[in-house]
Amino acid sequence: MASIYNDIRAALESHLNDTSGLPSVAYENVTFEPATGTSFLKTMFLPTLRRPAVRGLNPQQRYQGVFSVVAYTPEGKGPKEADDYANVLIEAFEATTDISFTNSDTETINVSIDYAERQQGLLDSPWYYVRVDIGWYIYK
Amino acid sequence: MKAILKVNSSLKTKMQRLEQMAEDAVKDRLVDIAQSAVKYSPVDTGAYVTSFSYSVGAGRPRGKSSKNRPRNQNPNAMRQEGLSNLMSDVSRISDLKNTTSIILRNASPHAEAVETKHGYSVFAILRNLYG
Repeated sequence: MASIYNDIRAALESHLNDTSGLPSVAYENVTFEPATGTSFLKTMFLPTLRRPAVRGLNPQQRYQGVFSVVAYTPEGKGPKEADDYANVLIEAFEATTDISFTNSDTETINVSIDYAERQQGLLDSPWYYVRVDIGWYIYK
Repeated sequence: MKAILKVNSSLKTKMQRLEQMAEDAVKDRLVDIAQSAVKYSPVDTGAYVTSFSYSVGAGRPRGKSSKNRPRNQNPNAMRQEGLSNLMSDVSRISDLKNTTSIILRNASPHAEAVETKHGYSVFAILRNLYG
């Protein structure tokens, strides 16, 4: 079912939204004007694979992909704030975490987290940013 | 007391064939990764997609700047050039079966901007598929 992607995205974004200790989030294709000097997160939903998990007719599918969250903090103020956000994200999306989500048709899905890994901090003036890539998968 | 164990002469041949199969499997994997790398890369000037390298040690990686290069290049031609670069790197790895790590790198100056600022996430996708 194609709408599975909507549900996976909703599951991941809801989980992010429910995580405390993080700044406001710029979601994909939603107008967001970052204020210089104020930290924020930016998300990217990257589905990478949809493959039959078993042989035969109407097989269960394995879906997988990456949910990227980039923590932007003001430049020139050291790496600590971005590092702290990365730590919170890695903890919230730790490997083997299952994220449950119920859609408007009262159908519940469980998205499993495969890994969460951060990249090095980089400068993109006026921001310093750290990216966290969260690998997810689901059988449906 | 001693025991002399005779090794079947065909065993050595079989071991060599197994080694060859393992080497071929690694090569196939490198080709798959190379094809995905160029497939997920954006193409404008072609500087990014032709800046991938496989390396096994020291050496200068490919790194082209998009500055002063003509835009709107043919994506297929540029991707083919990028793939040929990587295939040539694979063929130059002399002792693949004893190689413990191979690095895929893109040393174009705008590689990080392509990855996160422009959101193409080429390496994030490759790590997800092959990591």
